[in-house]
Amino acid sequence: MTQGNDHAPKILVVDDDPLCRDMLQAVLTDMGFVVDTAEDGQTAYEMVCFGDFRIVISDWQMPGMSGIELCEKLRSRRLGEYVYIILLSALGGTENLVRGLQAGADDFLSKPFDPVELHVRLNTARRIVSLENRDLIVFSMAKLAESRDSDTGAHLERMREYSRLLAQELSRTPKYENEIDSDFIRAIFLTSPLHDIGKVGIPDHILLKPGKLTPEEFEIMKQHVTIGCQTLDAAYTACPSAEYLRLARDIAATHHEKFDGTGYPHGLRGTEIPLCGRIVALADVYDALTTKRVYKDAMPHQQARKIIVESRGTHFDPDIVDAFLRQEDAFQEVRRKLDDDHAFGSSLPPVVTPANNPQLLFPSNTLV
Amino acid sequence: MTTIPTRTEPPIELDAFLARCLGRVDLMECMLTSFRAGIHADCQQLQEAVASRDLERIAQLAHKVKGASATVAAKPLSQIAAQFEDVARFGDPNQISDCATELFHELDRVERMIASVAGTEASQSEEEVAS
Ligand SMILES: [Fe+2]
Repeated sequence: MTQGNDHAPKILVVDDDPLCRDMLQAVLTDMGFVVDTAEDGQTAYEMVCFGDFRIVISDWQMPGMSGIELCEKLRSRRLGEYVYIILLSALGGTENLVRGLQAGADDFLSKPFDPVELHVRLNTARRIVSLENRDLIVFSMAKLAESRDSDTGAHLERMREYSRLLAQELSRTPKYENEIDSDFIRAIFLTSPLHDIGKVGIPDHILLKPGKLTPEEFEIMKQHVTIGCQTLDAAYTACPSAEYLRLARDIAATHHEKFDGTGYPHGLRGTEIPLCGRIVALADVYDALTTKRVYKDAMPHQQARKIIVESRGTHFDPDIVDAFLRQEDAFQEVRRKLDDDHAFGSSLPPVVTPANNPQLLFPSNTLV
Repeated sequence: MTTIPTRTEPPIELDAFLARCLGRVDLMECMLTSFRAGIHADCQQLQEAVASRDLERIAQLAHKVKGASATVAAKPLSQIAAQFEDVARFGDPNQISDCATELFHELDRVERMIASVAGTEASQSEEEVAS
C-alpha cells in the first residue's frame, strides 16, 4: 500500500494511549504518509501552529485538552492553513457527533480503527487539503501579475523573505507579541507577493513606458493599489473563511501609504495603516533600492540603510525601521542568496520588455 | 459470589488484529509486545488502586486497559475493562473486587495467547531458515 508520494500531506496523530498512537503511526507510515505524534492536545496545538501538518487525527477523550477542545482551538486560528481534522471515537462511546461537528471536526473514525476505512477517509482528507494547496496558487498568481511588469527577477521571492524577517523580529517585542503570531508570519510570507497584483489592470503603455510618467499617467499608475485591493476584496468576500485574503487585500491597499500621512491612495497615517502594509512598505522599498534595474545599478546595503533610517517616522513606522536595523545581517543574507543572477526566479525565461520606468520600480516615487 | 464464567471465545481475534496491521506479521508482533509491556504496568497499578479503593484511579486505569485491549482486538478484555470502568464511576463499590478478579483472569488468558503467538512465529521463522 506504500505510495511513496512526495506530496503526501503530513499527519499529526494525537492520542494519550501510546499503543494506539504507535499503531496509527505504523499503519499510516506504511500507507505512505509522513506521520508525527503528540500525546496531548496542548502539545498537538503547538505542533500544528509551528509545523506544516495538514491532517490531524485526534482521540476524543484525553486528559487535559480533549479532542473537541483541540478542534475548537485549531479552528479559532485566524490565518492558519486549513487543517483537516478526524476525531477518533471509541466504539459504543457516548461521544456526541453533533458536538464534534460544531467544534469543527471534518470526519469521525471509530476506535479501534479498520485500516480499509482509515484509508478511504484519508483519501478524502487528502483530496480536500490538496484543493487548498493555496501557497503555490497564490505565488503563481503573483508571478503572473509580475511577468507583465519588468525585469524584477526574484523581487517577489526576496520581498516575502524581508517581510517575514520584519514580522518575526517585531513578534519578539512586547509591543507586538500579541498582534503577531506564527499564523501572521506565515500569512505575510504567503501574501506579500500579491502586493502589486493590481498592476494587471494598468495599460501596457503606462506600465512599460520607458521614460518618466506624466502626472496623468502617474495617477493611472497609482490605481494599481485600488485595483489590487478590489480584486482581493472580491476574493475575500467570495471566500470569507480564507482570512489570509483579507491580509492580502490590506497589503495591496496600503503598501504605498506612508507613516506621516503623505502616501497614497488615502493618505492614512501611523497605525491607521494596517501593520502588514507598514511592514511590506519597507520590504518593498529595500528591495527596489538594492537591486539592479535596467536604468540603474544596485545600491549597496549601507546606502539603502541610510535612506531607510532617514525615512524613520516619515515614510516608515519607526518600530519597523528599528526591527530592520536589528535584522540587517539577515536582510543582506537574503539578498546574497536570492541574488538575481543566481535566484531560481531568474531561471525562468526573461520577460522581454522595454527599459523600465524608474517611477514604477520605486514604490516611493519621492525617495530617490 | 465470585463465579468467573468460562470463556470459550479467543482472548485476541488474531485475524482481525493482523488485518489492522495491514497483514504485516512483524508489525503485529511488535504491537503485541508493546501491548504486553503496557498492560502489565497498567494492571499492576490497577491492583494497587483496587487495594486502596481509589475509585477515580481505578476508572482511569480501566479506561486505559479498555482502549489498549481494543486496539489489539482483545475484545473480551476490553469489554471487562469497560464494565470495570463503569462500576468504578457509577456502580456499587462492592463489585470492585469481582471485577478485578474477572479482569485479571482474562488478562492471564491474553498473556498466554501472546506468548503462544510469539512461540509459533519463532518456530515458523526457524522452519523458513531451515528450508
Ligand atoms: Fe506597488
